[in-house]
Amino acid sequence: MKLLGKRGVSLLFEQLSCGLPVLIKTVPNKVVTLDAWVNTGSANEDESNNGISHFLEHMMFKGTPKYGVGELDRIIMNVGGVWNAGTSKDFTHYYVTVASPFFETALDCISDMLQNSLIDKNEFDREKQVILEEFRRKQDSPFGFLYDELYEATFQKSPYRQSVLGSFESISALDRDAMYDYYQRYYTPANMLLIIVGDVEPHLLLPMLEKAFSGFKNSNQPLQDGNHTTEFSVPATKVIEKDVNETYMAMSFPAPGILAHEEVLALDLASTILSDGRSSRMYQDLKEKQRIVHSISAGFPTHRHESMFYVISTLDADNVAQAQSATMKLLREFSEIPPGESEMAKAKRIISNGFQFGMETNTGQSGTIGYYYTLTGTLDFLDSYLERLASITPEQVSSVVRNSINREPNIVVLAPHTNTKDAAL
Amino acid sequence: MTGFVKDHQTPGIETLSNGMRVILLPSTANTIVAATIFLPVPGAVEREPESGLVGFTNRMLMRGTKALTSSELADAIERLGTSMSCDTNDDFSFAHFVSTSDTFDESLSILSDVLQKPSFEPEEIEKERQSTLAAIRRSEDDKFSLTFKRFQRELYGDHSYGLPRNGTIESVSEFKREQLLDMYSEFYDPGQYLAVCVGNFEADKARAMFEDLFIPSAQPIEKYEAPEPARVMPAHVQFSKQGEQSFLAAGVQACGYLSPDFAAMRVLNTVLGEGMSSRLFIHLRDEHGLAYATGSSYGPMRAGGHVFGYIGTKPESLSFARDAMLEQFEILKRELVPEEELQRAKNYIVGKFLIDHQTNYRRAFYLGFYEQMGLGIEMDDIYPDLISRVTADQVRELAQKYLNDYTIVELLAE
Repeated sequence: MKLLGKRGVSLLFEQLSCGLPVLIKTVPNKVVTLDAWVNTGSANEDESNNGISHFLEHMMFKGTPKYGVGELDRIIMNVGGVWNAGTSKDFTHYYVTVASPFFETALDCISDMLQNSLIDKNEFDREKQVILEEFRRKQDSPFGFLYDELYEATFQKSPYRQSVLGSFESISALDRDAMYDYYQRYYTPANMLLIIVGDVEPHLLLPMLEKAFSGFKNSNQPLQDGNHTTEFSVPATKVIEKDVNETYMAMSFPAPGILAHEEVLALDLASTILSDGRSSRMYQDLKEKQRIVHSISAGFPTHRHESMFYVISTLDADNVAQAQSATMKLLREFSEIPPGESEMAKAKRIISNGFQFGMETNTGQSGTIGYYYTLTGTLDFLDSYLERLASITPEQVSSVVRNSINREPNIVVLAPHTNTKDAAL
Repeated sequence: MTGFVKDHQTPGIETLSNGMRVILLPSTANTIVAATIFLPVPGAVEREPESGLVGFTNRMLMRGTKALTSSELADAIERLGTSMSCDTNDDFSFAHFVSTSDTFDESLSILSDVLQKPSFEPEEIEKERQSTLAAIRRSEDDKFSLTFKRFQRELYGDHSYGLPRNGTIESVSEFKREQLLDMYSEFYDPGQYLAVCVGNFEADKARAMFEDLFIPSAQPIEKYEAPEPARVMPAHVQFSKQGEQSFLAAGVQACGYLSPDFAAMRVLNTVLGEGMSSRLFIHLRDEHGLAYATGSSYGPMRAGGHVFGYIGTKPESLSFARDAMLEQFEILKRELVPEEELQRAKNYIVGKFLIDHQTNYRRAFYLGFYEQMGLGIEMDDIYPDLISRVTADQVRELAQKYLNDYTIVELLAE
């Protein structure tokens, strides 16, 4: 086993005979989490199969030749454990937490699920109705709806424009055989990562891991990585009216992908200074001083490739135009005058503490490790994250915002059914 | 059998010379420390025209002290990298922070000022009012919140448990500074606070700080305890909102934390609607594909509680979903839960409970919560055993006792 990470996070690394990389972090807390990351998400889809990664995540709990429908959940529940899973633009992951004496039970379940899911046709047809209900639910959720609309408005050609859930039409058109083919193609040792965090003795695990994944085969089918492009949509404003009480507004700008480490760190700091906490600039200026928004947050959902920097606010429909202009004014000032040392120190402290607080749970650790490792292919960025964050200068923080806002934003406004269009435009 | 083993001794409760009770559990597992102070200020003390007043008062504590303006206070806390807030539920309020060990002293000093020297500046009250009104409007854009709010109202009638803890547009619009000051002087007495610290801190130093920083009220306040809610005539209510999904909540009043039925009701609810192997999930979601979001929830409080099923589904499926859900309630009354299913549900509850003890913040909360609710700190140790002793007969008896005369609230998509 190889020790990875020396500065921020240290883990043992082993590549199993089948090719599956495994990262192990020992924490003496009586609990163990197994978290399997698959290098595929909605960014690996196209219009014809949009939603397949997420739908497959549901189908993974629907049985293998060894365990029937629902049995994987019942087994874990029987030992007081908890399953969870999530699909994103760049990845899908499955994680299970149990008391450490039940490590082998959890390993048996998750390894069987990853290698041998049946994707039964009848179960597929039934689950499609569930997915369509999930889609309807998202359409009725202001933030979920706004977020999907923002991605579609921001990314003109990049596969990131596609929703993780898919559209009603694309979900309806998905078929079982195409999903099985997708599963065989992407769920392979070379395209995955297993993270184990918890009360385990690494050297005792290896024989169990080798046995559990001994039959896991790689696929020789090509993987689709989407047609990534930094060509963003032409700036525009889209106003959508719905039966909502508040107005929800999102503004987006181009941003770099995760491999641009220094810019990512600078933009993480910028987002923190701008909107993390009640002393942040946007909160103090737009919410407390000008009182033109009810809530505001800046975000930087870092993707493997091109990303976006956004500002989402909730407000009265009458204040939409004023809030847009005030947000732009604040961002322009920020991009021209670097933040002071004191503000930088505060932001670095907030991020550093948030990082530590997030590592208190096994799933917090496996989630952070898996995210960075899956997107970058190594542990280096995560390991050096806090150290490199400390060396980011105020000029870098201003500069990264300047690069993002050197064009007008894409804007999506979700407003109540009134005369808000005039206000927005 | 869950295999979980607790990794610490349950600490004792100490009463300090200022009357404050403290529970201290130092640990060097990491550099994080969590402190939670439980205040005997229940949301349930509110009456109809002042719904939301306790939560509003608590949020005002974070909006400036006699020494620091609202923005200075926020800056002082965030500069330490500490997260701090004052929250409310039906039975008590709680102020808490999570910090790193090197800033524990400063964080605790700030929290002491927040709790004892709030300024209630008129301008800050107006800002909080706008913020709260917006939060209420946003919650009404969420179908689950909207349906649940109406369900609570129908289920509890005039009892304070039926009021939304965030308040209503009408109530929050009318709050006066004097009401907040009255609420503060009437209920906030450090001599009756319970403080819990878990994590990387020095117990002697923390004890001394709690003793020095917190000054009890000259006249001890009288604790408020909510009366048991009266049974209300069951209702079947429908209202509408534009959208793609209809939403349904159906349930009954149930027992609270102090009831001998509490553990069995927890198990009943898990069998019914918690997790992917629960009955509502299997029958309504897996078998019929009616929903993505379906399950049940048990909400115990000190003097009562409720259990209800919920589902979000396309409008044409609502009636079928309602019948299918109520049928699952009825089966619990007719048939014993098979032993294997019962054991699975019990293991799931205990496992989740123990997994939820991973962070210092949650450990501090659990320890103080049981004491504050009158169950005693030892409940944190005996809870798994209480759950493990629940029998199938008890679950059926409980179903027969409580699952009758359902209150049903339906939000129809149009």
